[in-house]
Amino acid sequence: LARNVIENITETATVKREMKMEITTSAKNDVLLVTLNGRLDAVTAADFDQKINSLLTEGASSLVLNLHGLEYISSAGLRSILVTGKKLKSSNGGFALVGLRGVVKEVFEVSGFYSIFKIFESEEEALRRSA
Amino acid sequence: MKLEHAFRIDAHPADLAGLIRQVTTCAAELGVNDSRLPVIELVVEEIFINICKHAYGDAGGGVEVRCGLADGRFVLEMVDFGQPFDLTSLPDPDLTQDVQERKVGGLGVYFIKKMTDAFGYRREDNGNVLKVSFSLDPRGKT
Repeated sequence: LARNVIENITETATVKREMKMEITTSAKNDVLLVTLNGRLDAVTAADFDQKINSLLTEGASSLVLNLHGLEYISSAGLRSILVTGKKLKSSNGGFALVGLRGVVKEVFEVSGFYSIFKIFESEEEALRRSA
Repeated sequence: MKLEHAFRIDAHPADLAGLIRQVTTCAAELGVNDSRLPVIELVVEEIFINICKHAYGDAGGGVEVRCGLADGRFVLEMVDFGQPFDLTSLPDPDLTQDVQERKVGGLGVYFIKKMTDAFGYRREDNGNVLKVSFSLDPRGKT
């Protein structure tokens, strides 16, 4: 290894990112639309789990997850989505995803999640097919 | 590898954001295309979180991070000082099982394998060294 270790590289604006996640929910007939914005990673996944758990406890039986505003997901985020899918499946509920793009879409493809979940192009279609 | 940047952080998830910022900043400065940064970010998180969870007991420990260029690729090494363990030796998860059968977990290492151009392990000076490399732009991806 070379010896010219530079300890401090100036942080550039190009890689500044919001390391957060935002969850909003709205009811559409019998389906609950959950919209994620930001990042679903090892740090934010716990917030997502907590939110989903309380929605399920409150009686939500059919969920559509809109990921259009999700910039990033890691295996920790996928784990949370899989756990949600398993819970809804075992209670015969509905679960669909919409709005996957960029690295989020790539991660779904690589993990095989693209073929095990119901994934739709538009929110409208996802809601209609989940009702 | 021509080393450009090296630092040490605690193996604690609270340091994830800072780690990602440092590595992606270094990558961008070394000429990695912006479109490649999310993939680098993903691999950094998967390696780091794995170390946080499994390398040390309650006592905790450190992670040494080095990045630079080699053979026209961005190279990243992350080192923990726990028991010898070769992350590259883990079997791939079964991707064909449906939602109910599908096991929770095991995807992180699979992502590292699939999204890097090279993924290697060596034991060096009491450390587990994981070395990954990335093409600078998407077209160079193998």
